[in-house]
Amino acid sequence: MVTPTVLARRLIPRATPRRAARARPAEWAIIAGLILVGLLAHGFNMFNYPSFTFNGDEGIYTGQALAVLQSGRLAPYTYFYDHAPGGWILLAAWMALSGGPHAFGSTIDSGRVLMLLLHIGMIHRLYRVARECGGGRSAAALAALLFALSPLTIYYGRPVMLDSIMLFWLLISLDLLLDGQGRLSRVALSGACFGIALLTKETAIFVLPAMLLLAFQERRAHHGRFAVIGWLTPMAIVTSWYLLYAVLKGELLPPGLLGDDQPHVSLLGTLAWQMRRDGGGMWNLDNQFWHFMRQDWLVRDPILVVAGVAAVAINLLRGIRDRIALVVGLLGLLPLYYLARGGLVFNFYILFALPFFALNIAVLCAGLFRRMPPWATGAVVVATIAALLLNWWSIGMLGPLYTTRSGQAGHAAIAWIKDNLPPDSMIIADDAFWPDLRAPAAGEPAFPNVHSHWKVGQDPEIGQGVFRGDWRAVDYLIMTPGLERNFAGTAYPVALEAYQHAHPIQRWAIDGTLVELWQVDKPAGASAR
Amino acid sequence: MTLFDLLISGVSLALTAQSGYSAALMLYAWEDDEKLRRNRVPATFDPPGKRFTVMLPARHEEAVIQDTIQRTVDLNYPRELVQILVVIEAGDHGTIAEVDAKLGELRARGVGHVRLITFDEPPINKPHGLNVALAYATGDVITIFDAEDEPHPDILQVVNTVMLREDPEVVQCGVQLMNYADRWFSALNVLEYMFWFKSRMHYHASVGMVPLGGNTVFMTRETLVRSDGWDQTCLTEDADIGIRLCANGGMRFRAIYDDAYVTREETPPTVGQFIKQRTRWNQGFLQILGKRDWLRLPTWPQRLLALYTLAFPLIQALTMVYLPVSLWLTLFGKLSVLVTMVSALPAYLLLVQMVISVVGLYEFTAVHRLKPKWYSPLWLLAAYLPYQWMLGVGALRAVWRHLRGMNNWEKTKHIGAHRVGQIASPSER
Repeated sequence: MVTPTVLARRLIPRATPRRAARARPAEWAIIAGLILVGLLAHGFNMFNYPSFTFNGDEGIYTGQALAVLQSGRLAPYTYFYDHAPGGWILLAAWMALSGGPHAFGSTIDSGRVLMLLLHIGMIHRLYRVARECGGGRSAAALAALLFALSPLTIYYGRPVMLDSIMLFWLLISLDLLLDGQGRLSRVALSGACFGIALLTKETAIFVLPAMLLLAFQERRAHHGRFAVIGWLTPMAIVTSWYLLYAVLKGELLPPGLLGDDQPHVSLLGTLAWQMRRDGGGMWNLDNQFWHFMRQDWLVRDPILVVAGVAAVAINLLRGIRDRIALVVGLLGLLPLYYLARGGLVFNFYILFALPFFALNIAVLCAGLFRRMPPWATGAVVVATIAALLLNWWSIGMLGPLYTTRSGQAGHAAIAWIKDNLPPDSMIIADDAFWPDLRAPAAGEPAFPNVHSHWKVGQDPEIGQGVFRGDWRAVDYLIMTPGLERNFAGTAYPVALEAYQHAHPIQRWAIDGTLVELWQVDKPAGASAR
Repeated sequence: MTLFDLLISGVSLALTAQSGYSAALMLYAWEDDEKLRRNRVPATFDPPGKRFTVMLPARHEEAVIQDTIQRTVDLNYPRELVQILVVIEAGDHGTIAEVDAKLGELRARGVGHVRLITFDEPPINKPHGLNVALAYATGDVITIFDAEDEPHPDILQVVNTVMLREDPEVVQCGVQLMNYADRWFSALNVLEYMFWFKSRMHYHASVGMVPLGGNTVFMTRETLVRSDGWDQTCLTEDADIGIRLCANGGMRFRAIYDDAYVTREETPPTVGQFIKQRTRWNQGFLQILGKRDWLRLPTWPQRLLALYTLAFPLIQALTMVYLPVSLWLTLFGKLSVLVTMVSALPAYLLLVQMVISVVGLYEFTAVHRLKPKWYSPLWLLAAYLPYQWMLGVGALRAVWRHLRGMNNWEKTKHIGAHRVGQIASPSER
């Protein structure tokens, strides 16, 4: 026989061991200070360095945001599901709300302002998450400062990258899930935010196990069976919009299945291609992960990377007894696994791991800090950050962030082209130049015939259609270092052939960044159009 | 965007908002620890202080009435503080004979606090019977149990304690259908009760617009007198009295749903009975809507919640008509991708409700120590849409009868399935 008392006791939820990080005025002052630090460290000189011409991705996402904003399409060219569109839909919304794509200068600069705002948001969320994971104010401030000041975060966080936008949603999701007040509606909202993170960059899926563990062990006591499902359902719904979109467009499955033999792009086809992209294999010390580790990440900020990895390992060990340490350790381990799994890696992918490195270090320090008086922990944090700043400055990683003006080369090139070239010129360029030439500010000429070299090389509508597979259709090439390597081995070698028949007419070199304008030499009498 | 696009998007978004709101109401009790705590009965009981009058309205309940009386007599509370009034229409000779026999037996054992009260003037319905009994009631607190109810033996202790400690005027305790595996629609019917009494009732309480339940509701006699008793012309006099109390100066209200202390009931035995019952409820709600007492509720949130609750039969009927349209548009409509995605939203929310129901089934069976079969959730999912259609029929039928002015009481039949069926209460296992 089951007595009612027994039945009732089963329903009494465990009291949550952590109090909610409900900020008091003193805490608001700390948060405001952290935000100010983040604002200055990230924002100062952010339009100039790193240069927007280093990485065409910024131009791609900005161009796609413009397509959303101006023509209600997901991409100016055929959208081929290379990434889920959440990131540039947000960027388009930002442009619409902030007074147009040129509210802050160039279109890419507008995106960089959004990155600054998201960065500040992440600092705040990271502080809260560290508090909710048991850190005191000092430990939480340490997490926020490590993230806000690391040259790695600033260098890769300034450009318009999907990784940063994804991390923003991920940290919101994490914060909502950890919230000690424990409302089911926040759990659901957390799931929805994780869905948006997935729709921004699919790599968020790698931390799913940690989120599920958290939903299960922290929330089940409060909301019973509705906790995990209350998180999963909104997440699945948001994510399924992507699939639904592909289904409605008839672009879910690759051609050749279900009797459909027209060539077309497809979500699953692209996904399979992405998964096959090789980065050297997991057990290869020369794979891209180790390459960037040695050549880039450890160079820019050895301390955050080494201390972060060590803290992840220790927290995982502590996780045997401490379930929060386990989740925090997992949150650090899973992005690391993603980076080190041996697939394709780019240098900026390290962003994914950085807030979680900071979090792991802070949670580890929190245990130490608890045995010290509050003034001492504050002093330790200040001293640590001062020492780090000195280190970053001495290895030469801090200065360039605030003095290098390399972005000016690209801006100068765009300005010259607008002043001197006929607007109907057929131009092949890196994606970085695409948005500002296509969608100029009011009163400036638009260049509707500027095309991305990727599309000229791979997209039949452009290489075969617009350029007719003929290099003589090209008038100009905007060249950045290493671009010609990407011209080779494409389906439509229009750009390569044009480059071989061209000569440089202008050159912009500022702080180590080079941009050149090449004019194609056409045989006499041959006309492109 | 064409006008048609805008129309489709507008309807879809409105329906989505409605389903989202309804899902939020279902899960309201699970929102945080405080809400779950409010649902539990007090950990200790205070000494009996309040005098109770228990009304047992019955009609054609020959099969179960003796049991019902015995259960009420057996309630764990001093008999000198309890008055039991069995209320029956004078023409119902069969039930009256059963009651007389039972009273004789009880008196022989020295139990004298049960009385039979009959009435013969029309209308012959539950609220009229209750009003007749009210004139005889002597308790401080008056409550109602239906003939098929199986209240918890300690329920009067619970209410006595809550009344003494918190001084509410009205306490609604949980009512729960139990026979979740009897009919194809039983599980969904059971869950409706669980989500209504365990969760949504608290939301109504927090807004201050409470359609009360028909039994296991405890009201002080002053409150009843203040509201002139029950409305004899209303098919859902229980919801009506709650809304009138809220509109006429408000009431101090407390809802409790402790799984171990719910009053157990049974689902209607057949689809026909189910639809009749649902028609009566819906029609009652439409009557209350027409009476316009709810317009006198003091705040807009109260009035809007009343409108939403009372007009729900209409919303439900519309949703059922729209869902196939939405599905068809998603799959075959030549709409733009964005509009198609918006038109698919109501279907998403339907899925959400189905998921909530499946999880709810496991919550229900777990707290009552029942073991669902592996196919129970599948069965529930398969029955989900037919159940919605059945609710839709009940809603349409109610609208039809309301418009034709057919206001007679279609009584639900009780066979005592929750007493003899395969599901025993935890204490009987």
